[in-house]
Amino acid sequence: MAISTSPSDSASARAAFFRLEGTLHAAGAWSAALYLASNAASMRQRLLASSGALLGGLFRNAKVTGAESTRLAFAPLAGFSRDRLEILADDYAKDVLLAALRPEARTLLEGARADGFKTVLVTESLDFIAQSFSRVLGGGAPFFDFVLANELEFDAKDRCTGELISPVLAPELDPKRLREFAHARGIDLTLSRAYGSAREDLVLLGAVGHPCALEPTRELARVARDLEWPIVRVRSAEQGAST
Amino acid sequence: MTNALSIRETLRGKNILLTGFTGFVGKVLVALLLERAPEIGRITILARGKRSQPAHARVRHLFERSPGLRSLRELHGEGFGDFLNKKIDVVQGDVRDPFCGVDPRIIDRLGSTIDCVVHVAGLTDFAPDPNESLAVNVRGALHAADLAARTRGRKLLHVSTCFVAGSVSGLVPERLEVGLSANGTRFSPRDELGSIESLCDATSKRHPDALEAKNARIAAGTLRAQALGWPNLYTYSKALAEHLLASRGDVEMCIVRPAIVECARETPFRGWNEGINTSGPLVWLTGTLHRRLPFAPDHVFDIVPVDSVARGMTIALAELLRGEHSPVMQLASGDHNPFTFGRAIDLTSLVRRREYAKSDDPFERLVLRHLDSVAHDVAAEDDPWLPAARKATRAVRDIFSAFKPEHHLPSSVQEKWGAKIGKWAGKQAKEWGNASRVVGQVDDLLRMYQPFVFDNNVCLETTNVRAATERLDAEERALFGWDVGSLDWRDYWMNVQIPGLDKWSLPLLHGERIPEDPPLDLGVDLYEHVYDVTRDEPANGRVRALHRASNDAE
Repeated sequence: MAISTSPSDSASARAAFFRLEGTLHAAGAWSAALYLASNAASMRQRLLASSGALLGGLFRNAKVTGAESTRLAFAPLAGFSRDRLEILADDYAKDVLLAALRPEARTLLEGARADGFKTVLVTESLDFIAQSFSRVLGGGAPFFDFVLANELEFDAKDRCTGELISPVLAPELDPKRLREFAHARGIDLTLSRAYGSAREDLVLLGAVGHPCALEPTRELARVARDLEWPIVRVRSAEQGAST
Repeated sequence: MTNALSIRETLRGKNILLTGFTGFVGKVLVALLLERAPEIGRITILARGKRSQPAHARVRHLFERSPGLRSLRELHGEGFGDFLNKKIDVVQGDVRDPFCGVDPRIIDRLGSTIDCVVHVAGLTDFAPDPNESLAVNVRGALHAADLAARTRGRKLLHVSTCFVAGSVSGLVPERLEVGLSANGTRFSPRDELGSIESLCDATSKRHPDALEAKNARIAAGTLRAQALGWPNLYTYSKALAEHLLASRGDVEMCIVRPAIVECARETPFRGWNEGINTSGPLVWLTGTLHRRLPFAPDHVFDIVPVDSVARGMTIALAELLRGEHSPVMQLASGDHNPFTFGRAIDLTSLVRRREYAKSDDPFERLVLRHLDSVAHDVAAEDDPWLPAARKATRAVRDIFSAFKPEHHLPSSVQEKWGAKIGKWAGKQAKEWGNASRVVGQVDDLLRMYQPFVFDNNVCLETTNVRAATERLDAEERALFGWDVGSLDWRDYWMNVQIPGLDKWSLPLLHGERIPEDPPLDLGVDLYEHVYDVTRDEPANGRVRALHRASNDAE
């Protein structure tokens, strides 16, 4: 797991946590793995890696939400050079993530900053994808103050081994790790916001004082209603049924 | 700081004579010296006249229009002509001639002012006519040394190449053992020069046809080079020059050996390149349909930006002027910041895919974009694809060439469409012939590069330039220090080298011209050292620096 900080960071009492997968962008982490795999240098590697990433996607859709599904999604990247992965990550962040960023997400992101919250991007995807996304969102400078993401292992020749560095950030966050992360940065979770969209985000949403379900799945929406968390639905809002 | 070195103090008031100014490295060296060490005395540029253009007019033209000297023009603006007149003079000559073709009476006068000869001129073709490479690279170096021996400084900074190491792998130290060839054979440099020149003469006599004679000389010379452990005539001639120069004791000398010199990082400006250098054809290949490149992916691709080479040369020059020089200084990257062929191919493919993604050409956007090049890890001579492609394209060409509508078409079709079909077949024959030629050129190119991209993996030691950099204070280190260790290869390759080659080199492969900058009229002619024949005063060897020499001559 990679935890990175923007250069200008200083500890803050309040933070706004944004989950990338499903919340800011509709696609899951496995789609990033598939994008990278399908752009391998050789055709053979492209075919093998894409098949592996697709398999990871299938596991994910079969509701396998442990760290194994994340490991499986990125394992086919073994043999990729760091150059290739990081450059493709830039393209993915710009052409895929930014291009299809949920419009309401941008409003919430900018609102959080305007309200003086430190912004935290939480993703089970890779750290360099998260960093690239943060940069393209910030127009060159990192938008997010912190990034919580997974980190790939590279060998001495800067070739990816296909392994994620432990501890792996699984789709469902480990609450203990989240508390440690917040404590280390002086973040008071009870004063913080979090935005999630799926069942896996319950831990994150449950840990903060001001949770919000953004375009939630049916499962999360039910829980949100039970716990009286605000729910944001843009399509419904357009139809006059925002909660 | 112990044993400190100040470049600017050392160069203050020192006069140098420079050969090879019209080349890639020469221009950047002058730009760097005049920009960053304007305390230097005069730089006398030895240049050939070309056709109707005398040397001083040729040099003036470069100062007025060469992009390589743009930063100097921008720095001085309208005062550029006056600045050059204080710093630059020209002497007509040719390194192939004794004393570089400089009139002895001019040498007598000029020699009393010159502190060091910087010999950059050279022929960098891998497979040149040995007559030419021996005349320029070997005899030329000896003539430069002869000239240096007649100057007050008696010092020579000679630019060679790291690849005099020959067909070897592993660490190449900054050392020269005279009379020991690249494969460890003992030889006499002087006898070797005599032998190879005799061999060329004998070969020429056996072939009355000029082209045949040239090809035979290249073949014979290459065999000779390979017998001594040098892969081609270029490295052989440069190495022979080093051995011959090191054999003489009449000049103090430093041999500077750059690795593969490529686009500038900052001087004269980011990305500048000139001519077709080593990586140009390799980068061009990566954008073509030939995707499996016969390169060893983990071998070092020893690139150095041209302005880093100019920095290294400036350091070597200062040390030589102070008599604190190393006999050999290698300017390379492989031992402290290595870049590999695999990485270069990967990065080039990634740049090309981004370009192709935006292309209006559907073939580039939909096909080439998705066909990344990969290092094949097979020697070019063992790769069956290109010879097969060459044969196939030739066969198709022959089929179209042999097609005759009157013979191959039924009369009814021939009457109606024969002329059109015949014309189309002729066009196809021409196009497939061109394709066959290009495939052949690529095949030849890859075989020529094989010793450098596949067979040998050299790691060039650069202790001397890095140790010398340690002697500089912080300010001079920023201006002149060896800076390749800090190079971010990904940034350099994607944002400097590839765009630089695309703009300044690769168009040449397509027969296009590289545009010069808009002219900045210097307003005055450069000083040229000429012998005053009009006053016919050879007795005392008097030489005048004639202002507006060409106008006077007219």
